[in-house]
Amino acid sequence: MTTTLSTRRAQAAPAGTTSVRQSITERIAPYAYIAPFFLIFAVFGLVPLLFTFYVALFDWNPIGEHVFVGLDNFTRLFADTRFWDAAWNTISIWLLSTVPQLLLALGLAHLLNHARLRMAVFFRMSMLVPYITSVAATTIVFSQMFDRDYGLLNWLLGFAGVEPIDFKQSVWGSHVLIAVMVTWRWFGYTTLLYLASLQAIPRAIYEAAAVDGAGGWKQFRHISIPSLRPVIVFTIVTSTIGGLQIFTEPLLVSRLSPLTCGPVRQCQTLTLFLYEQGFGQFQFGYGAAIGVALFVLVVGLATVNYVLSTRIRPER
Amino acid sequence: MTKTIRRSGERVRWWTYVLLGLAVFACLFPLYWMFVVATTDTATATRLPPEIVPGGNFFHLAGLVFTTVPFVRSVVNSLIVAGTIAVGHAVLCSLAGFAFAKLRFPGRNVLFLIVVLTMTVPTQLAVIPQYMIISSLNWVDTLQALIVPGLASAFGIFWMRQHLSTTISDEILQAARIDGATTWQIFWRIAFPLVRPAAFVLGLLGFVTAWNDFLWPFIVLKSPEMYTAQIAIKALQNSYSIDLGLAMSGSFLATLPLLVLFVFVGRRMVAGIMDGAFKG
Amino acid sequence: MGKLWPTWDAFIETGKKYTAATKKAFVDNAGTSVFHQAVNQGPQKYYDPSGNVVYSTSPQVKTAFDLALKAVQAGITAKQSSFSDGWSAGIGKDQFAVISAPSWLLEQIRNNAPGTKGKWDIATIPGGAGNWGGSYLAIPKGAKNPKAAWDYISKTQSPQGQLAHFVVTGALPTTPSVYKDPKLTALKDPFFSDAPTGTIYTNSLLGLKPFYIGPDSSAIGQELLNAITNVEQGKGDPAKAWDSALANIKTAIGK
Repeated sequence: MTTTLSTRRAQAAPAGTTSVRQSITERIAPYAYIAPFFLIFAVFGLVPLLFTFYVALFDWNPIGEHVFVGLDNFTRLFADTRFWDAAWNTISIWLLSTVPQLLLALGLAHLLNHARLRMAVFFRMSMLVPYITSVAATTIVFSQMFDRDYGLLNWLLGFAGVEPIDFKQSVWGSHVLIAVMVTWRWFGYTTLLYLASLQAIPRAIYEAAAVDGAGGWKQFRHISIPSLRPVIVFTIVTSTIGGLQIFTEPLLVSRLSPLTCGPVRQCQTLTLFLYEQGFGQFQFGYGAAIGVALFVLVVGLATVNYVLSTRIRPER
Repeated sequence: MTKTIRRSGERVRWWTYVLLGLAVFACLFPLYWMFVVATTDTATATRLPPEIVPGGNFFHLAGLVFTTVPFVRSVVNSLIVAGTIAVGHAVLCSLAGFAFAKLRFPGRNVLFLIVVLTMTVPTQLAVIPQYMIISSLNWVDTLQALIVPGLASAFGIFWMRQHLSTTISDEILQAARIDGATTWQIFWRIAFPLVRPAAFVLGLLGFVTAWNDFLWPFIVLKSPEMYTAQIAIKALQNSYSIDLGLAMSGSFLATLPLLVLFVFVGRRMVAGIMDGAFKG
Repeated sequence: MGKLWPTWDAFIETGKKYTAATKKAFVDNAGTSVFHQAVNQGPQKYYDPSGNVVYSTSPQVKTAFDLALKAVQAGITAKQSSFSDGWSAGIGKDQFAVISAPSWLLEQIRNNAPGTKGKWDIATIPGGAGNWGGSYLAIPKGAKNPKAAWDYISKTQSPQGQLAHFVVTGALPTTPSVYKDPKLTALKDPFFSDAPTGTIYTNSLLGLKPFYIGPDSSAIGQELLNAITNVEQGKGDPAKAWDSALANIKTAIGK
């Protein structure tokens, strides 16, 4: 991330009349200004996260006993096929929703990055409309459009001779459906981030490349992509963290068995599995163990992605 | 703002418009479809070939939304939560951003690094202890359970710091100090007014996020009078029955306030997002 | 009509004839309309009288499960899970001919498909006696006014209270003392071709054999139902369905 630190700083020039009390206030002012965030993050972010690790060691009933069981929850978890299914669903949905989204955003940003493009504001604003639409509303409308019997999509596919696809019942179908919803909601936002970075690339670099005989595609690969590196890293890392914690889409896509996302848990993600065990079965300890596993997965994949994406370099 | 420099001035090809047009269609069609289904009864919504123009049932269904769930109350709840978060977020993040951008104090760089690092901490998976904390504060089924955790964010601080350090020159602050202004006065009278546009967009983003949040309100809210609009749409359908028109009607009504808001401030949101952290 | 299906096997045979003649599905789905009904007709379900889980050995459970698979393989189901969007819509579109419907479900059929008035009739369920399950009322320890709650429950659940509910909403009384009440026996439903709803449902209840239910009954039932639905939707292998259902139950409840 390219932040420019302010190099020159205001030199406090306390006037001789400043009282001692005021100077103490002045000295703690910066800490007071940043304190709200740290307080909120500590109470609702850090402490719960650490507490998750603690609760995971107990058989913890919200209105009953807390019995220390050591690593039993984890032993049980690793032998639980539902956990491995959910882990696979999570990774599959995340890949299906992230990779196409980022590529699509890259392409669209490239198209939008044109000095003489008309209606540029209209295009940009339209692409932000899905972002302001709620996940709940998105899920309801996409479920209907992708319905097996009465959905618009299957009706259109019917003209091409395709048999109706039961998106919600099959594993890959439900993953695709959820990925489409996630992609729809986020690709415009990502496009704008990429576009902003593209516009910051000095024109002279492209001109020099053109003089050297580099065409549009070469310019895109050798100038645009490497210049976008910071924002690509940012979007990859944030979509890893967000995409692996998907919850609302799978919960709402299957109205009949919301907590499992269908009869055979075909699209139950880890967060939904956590919710099912914690708030559906009231097994806080087991739910927390799922949380710990998810934490490891998120941090692991985010780190791998960070390392991989920072290696984007101009090719020589 | 840096001067915008774009790809060299070749002509825009026709297929650029075709592709962008397709993207716009993909973005807007689901909302149109939501409205179409929100205006028909279930029998029409499940007929093939589908009806692709709005029917005449909208006001009937909208009326049903209001009588099936306390929808007015839910929208008011959403406005309270999202509005408070928007204002709190804009002010608290500006304040912290100001401290990191313009004040000198021991530990500043380390603390800022911590702020940035917290962005990478996944916290949604800690919902069980989060619920325990809310429960021990006796905040279950209250709106403050939704508001307080959303009042400040690392992203917001990062964003405001960026704007404050590029928008406000140190000379102005120095001059103010010499005139005897306190740090608070400098922030409130000089710095904040100058970055108000950025803080406004940040508040908007906070508003949108809070308005659309689902998991957390779903966990902490219990009684229908406390529901936010998103939970109310969920409550329109249950495991035993769904009225598609009714569900879509609710979704549409819950989206409408943001769409209206977007018509007025969308341009500034786009500019704000693009003017964010990754330029240059 | 009930004469066409004294047993579940006869029901499936009738279904085959219907489907062959009309090219339409006979019954909405195998899970709730066949399995869930058949499993509730025996003297023992998932628990034995001393509270031990016996779902894997209880003959009634396996029989009901196999019946449901047989219905799936006979191709007579519309593959519409109860209460799904397609199911609600299908009721009004003649997509299937038969639904296993407890008395409270009738209201939903009326609402979902107002245009089908007079086209339905109600017959006794194969096997004679039906039970979809029930609901429970509880007063939490922390209730603000437990006394008022109890009074309310006592009043609404009294034999006369239940009878009044049945007439209006279709919630079947659990109090046999009112089963001979003229208000009940005289009840006919014009939507369902004037079927005598009062007597059909109460008679089926009297033929019911009681069985024990336990804390995990609903979780066990859900997993079995899921396994059937999975086969019905064409994703699961019928030969493995029973074993995988048992394995899933074991993971879910630990027993």
